[in-house]
Formats: sequence, structure tokens, C-alpha cells
Amino acid sequence: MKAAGRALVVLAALNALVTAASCPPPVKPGDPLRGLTAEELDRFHRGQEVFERVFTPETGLGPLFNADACGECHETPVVGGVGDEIELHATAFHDGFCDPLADSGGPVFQQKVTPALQAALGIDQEPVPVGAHRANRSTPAVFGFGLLDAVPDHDILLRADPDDKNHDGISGRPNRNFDGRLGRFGRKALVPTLREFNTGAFTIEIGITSPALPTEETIGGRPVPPSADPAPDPEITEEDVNLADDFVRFLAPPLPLPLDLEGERGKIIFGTIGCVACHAPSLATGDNKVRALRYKQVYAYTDLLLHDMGPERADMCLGLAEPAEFRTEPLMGLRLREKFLHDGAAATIEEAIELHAGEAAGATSRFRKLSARERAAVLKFLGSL
Amino acid sequence: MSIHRGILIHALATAVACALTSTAANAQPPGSAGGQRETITGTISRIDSHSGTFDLLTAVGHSVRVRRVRYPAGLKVMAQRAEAGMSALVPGAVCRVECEVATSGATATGVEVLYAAPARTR
Repeated sequence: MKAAGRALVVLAALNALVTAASCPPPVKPGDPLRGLTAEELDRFHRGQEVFERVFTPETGLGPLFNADACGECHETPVVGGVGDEIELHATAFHDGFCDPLADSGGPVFQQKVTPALQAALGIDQEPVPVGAHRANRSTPAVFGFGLLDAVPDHDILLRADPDDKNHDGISGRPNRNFDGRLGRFGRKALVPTLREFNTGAFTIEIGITSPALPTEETIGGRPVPPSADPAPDPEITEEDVNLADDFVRFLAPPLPLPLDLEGERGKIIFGTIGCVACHAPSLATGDNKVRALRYKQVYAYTDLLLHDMGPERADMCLGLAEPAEFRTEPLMGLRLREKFLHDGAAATIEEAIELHAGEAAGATSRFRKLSARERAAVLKFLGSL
Repeated sequence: MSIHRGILIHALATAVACALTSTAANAQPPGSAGGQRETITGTISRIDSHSGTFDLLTAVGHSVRVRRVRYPAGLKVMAQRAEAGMSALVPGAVCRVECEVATSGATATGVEVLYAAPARTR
């Protein structure tokens, strides 16, 4: 009997060992999605090389740029994460029309120039037209963006309530790209697809032309002086753009940290005070050619819609987005950030909550009325994401 | 002998079919001489009735570009499946523009307004 008991204990221990050995290690920031094929995994790794490639003027950098590599800004705590750079964007209203200042080089105004452009034009950054509404933009982490890309449009539109018909004070509304498609990427949700977000970033951030965008951005609306752009266009191949796109697409969302009782309580309070009206806990992806992106839940804490954040945060319009409207920021990976809000204005999560106004005023007010312990619980929950 | 006749008939039939296909391929619809057709979907940012042009905004990500398009007098503009006229083309309107593109630029041959300009108070 004693021997049988001992055998059972040994069997149980063996079983536990086998189970532990067969469990994959938890996903770390910067890891690829689980369930990628060998070919997709290979493209992820090769794409990371493109993402980290440092460009020079000879290989196409600039002549206007914000960074010399994708990985220069998306770097903390690992490649694909956040950066400490703050970009300058600007647009203007002209008779009720939101002008992205495309004929003046907008809406992204690069803050660095190559030595050749400096020599040709004597400028240190792209000039912003007088009277434009300027906006600071922090670098987002791009973890889990492939899953956000895979959420069907109609699931986003289902959550929209532009006229606040349910009278909850929250009126999420969709932005549209210039061609009318639903937007979801970018702080104003202008960009419909991850592919376009990534392709456009090569041009506006690094000054790298691609087959989809074979010409450089203008410099304040003027063409680039030939002497300032020695590399032939396009400066990156379609395949390299595809690889970089696959790297971003296949980046897994950071796994939230395990919650203790206080964190679990904070998660509940986060819901009851109304934060989830915009920071929707999860979205579902639809059919997708990539199995790892197909029919998945993504715990992104966003509805990908525009919400009024109040006049204090208002900066610029973009597409249908008014100056005070911003897309609900995804909260996945929140613990990995060093600055908060679209403009990096908040140094802590608590400060970011305090800076929510407009449609979020009710939730912010309820947060303020919580006891110190309850507030700490909410912050513990958010700090686990 | 009958095999040779079969080959001859087949060759003749192929030649006739090729000639017909070639004629069809070279036939162009009226008004398209010399230009390539292109459909541009974008947001109107400017209309200049003096020069008979409008600007369309298109974008790849946050890289926004401007396409200047000439428009002829009497351009057919549709909105919600009805003729809307040039007055529907205002900054902010999202349009699908059928163009003929030549080296001198793009000329609109038809416009469909997909979304009217948003009402804004600014």
C-alpha cells in the first residue's frame, strides 16, 4: 500500500514535469505570435532585420527624416516597442475643411535633414506653415498591431455611437481615410491598414521611397533639390517592405502580468467607473490568411474609434477627426511605456487618467472619487497590462 | 492527306481568330485616344474654376499626396445615384474620379461623390 502510494507520487511528479516541459515559455515583448508557420517565422526574423536596418543618405535616408531606422524609435524595451522621440504633426482648418497641408509637406513635419539638404537649403527641419495647428506625437509600440489589423471593419462600426443614442455620454465615431475607407491606425485613426501604416512610415519617418510611394515628400511643398537626394528611387524593394510589414504584423501583444486580488479588484473597478466604454477590453479578429491572426481575441482595451478628449488636449484635425478627438489608445503593453497619452504629456498612468476629459470626464470624475485603495487597485491592474 | 487538310484548316482558323482578337484589342472607346484610364479615389481639397482643376488628396499611411485633376465643362458628377452637378465638389467631399491620364496630367471623365463634405462649424 505504501509502495503504491509512493509510485503514485512519482507518477504525479513525472506527469507535472512532462506537462511543464511541453508548455511553451510565456510570450515576452518582442516575441512573434504563437502559431506562426515556419515560413511566417522566417519572415518575422528577416523582417526584423529590415526593421532594424540603419539607412544613410547613400542608401536613401532623407533628405527629410525623423529617424534613420524603424528601430531607432521603436526600441524600448525591445525592438517594436516605444521610443522617447516626440514628432511634430500639423494641419489647418480652411473654411471648415481639415487641410492636412499635403502641399506644404504635412501632416508630418520632419525634424531632421541630411547634410546635403542642409547645404542646399540651409534648413535644419521642415518648416511648418504659419497658422497651422501643431501637435506632438509620441512613438507607439507596435506589438499586437497585426491583430488590430485583422479586426473586421463591421465589428468596429458596431461600437460606434456618433450621436450618443444610448445617452451614456460616450459617442465613439469612426474616422475615414481620404478615400473613404474606415481608419484605425494612428492617433487620429486615419490609416485603414497596417500595411499602409508601415509603408507610409518608411517615407515620412525615414525618407525612404518605396514602390508604393516612389517619390519623396516635398520640402514645405517644394520638390527636393536633386543634389540632396543621391539615392535612386525607389530606395527600398517591395520585398523588404513586405518583410518589415510581416515583422510588425507578427509581433505578439505583450502578455499581461498575473493579477493578484488587488489587481483583479482594480480590473472590476476599471469597468464599473466606465473606462471600458471606450477602452473596450477585447476585440475579435475575423477570417485571415494567417492562421495565428484568424478568429482570435485581442485584449487591446480599445474600440479603435474617435472620442472627444476635451479642449485641453485638443491639437489638430485629421480626416474627420476634430482637434479634440483621438482614437482610443490601446492599453496592451501599457506597463512597457515610459510616457503616456498621444503627445507623451503624462509621466505616469495616474497623470494620464487625470488628463482625460471630454467624453471621459465622467469616468475621470468617478476615478477621483474612489478611495485611495481603490485607485491603487485600478493602477495596479493597468500596470499589469 | 486528310491530316494535312486538318492542319491547314486549324492554322487558318487560328489566324482568323488572332486577327479578330487583335482588332478588338486595338479598338478604343470614344474619348480615350492617347490616354490611360485611371480611377483615383480621394478627398477634394481645392477647386479652381478659373483653371478648371481640382486637387484630390490620397494617402499611403500618413504620407499624404495631392493629385491635380483637370475637369471639362459639363463633367458628369453623380451623388447617391443621381446627377449632382459641380456644386457637389467641395473641399472635404470624398470622390471616385474616373480619369484619362496623359503626360500633361489627369483629366476627369466622370465623378462619383462617395461621401459629402462633413458639416463643420469652423
